[in-house]
Amino acid sequence: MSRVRREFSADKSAIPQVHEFVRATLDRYGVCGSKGDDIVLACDEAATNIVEHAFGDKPGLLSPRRSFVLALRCRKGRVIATFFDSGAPFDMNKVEAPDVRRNLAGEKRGGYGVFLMRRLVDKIVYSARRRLNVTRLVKEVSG
Amino acid sequence: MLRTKEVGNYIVAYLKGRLDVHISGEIEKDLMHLSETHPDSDFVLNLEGIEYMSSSGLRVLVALMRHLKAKGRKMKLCNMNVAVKKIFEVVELMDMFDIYQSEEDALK
Repeated sequence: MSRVRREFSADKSAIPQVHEFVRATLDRYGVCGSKGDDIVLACDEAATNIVEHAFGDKPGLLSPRRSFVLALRCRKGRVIATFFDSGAPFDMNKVEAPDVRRNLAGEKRGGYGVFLMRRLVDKIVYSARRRLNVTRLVKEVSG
Repeated sequence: MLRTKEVGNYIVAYLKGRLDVHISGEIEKDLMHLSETHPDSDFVLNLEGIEYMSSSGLRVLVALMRHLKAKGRKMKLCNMNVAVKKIFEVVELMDMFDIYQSEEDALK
């Protein structure tokens, strides 16, 4: 099946729409079960990062429009979810693993989203070029 | 709006739906309000109605546990479905929370 893509508002209220879009697309690709659940959750986390960190209260760097695009493709037993946004660069590869003891002590908050994504997909590739952030999640679904 | 009930020294709160970034802020506010209005109670969070949870939901639970522990109060979780349990396992949080199979077990 060819690639499908959709634009979402960079707002918390769009996260359930991302969830529905990914789930419906995976259903069409025939990707279900725990691997499908992993991709849905990883995409939720990636979209949440864009909403909370790339944009936050800021307008986009390319335009004041606050939005991002998610493209999904399933090919040769591999699902690739690619996010495009023009918010502030946010390289999740630089995010530290969460430390729940420090979280409970009130020293630090969060870090679970990126950690979850790293565990749920096989590869995360991030690049920032010409003020466009591209985050690609790759998950093997065959076998 | 959270459904709750009081059992002895416990407040049981029934969380439901999708605990993602869209509603986690509201849930956190409701739970903190519940804690303030019942300042001496311990908490049991019944997760049976949670169909989906992202890291935003985890953050709410960690924040509430931090809040309650700082005051010497307890927080227990029960009735986790397989999908929610998997998230706790992936993030290696199973040992950090008091987790029970059923509400009855949590209230013992």
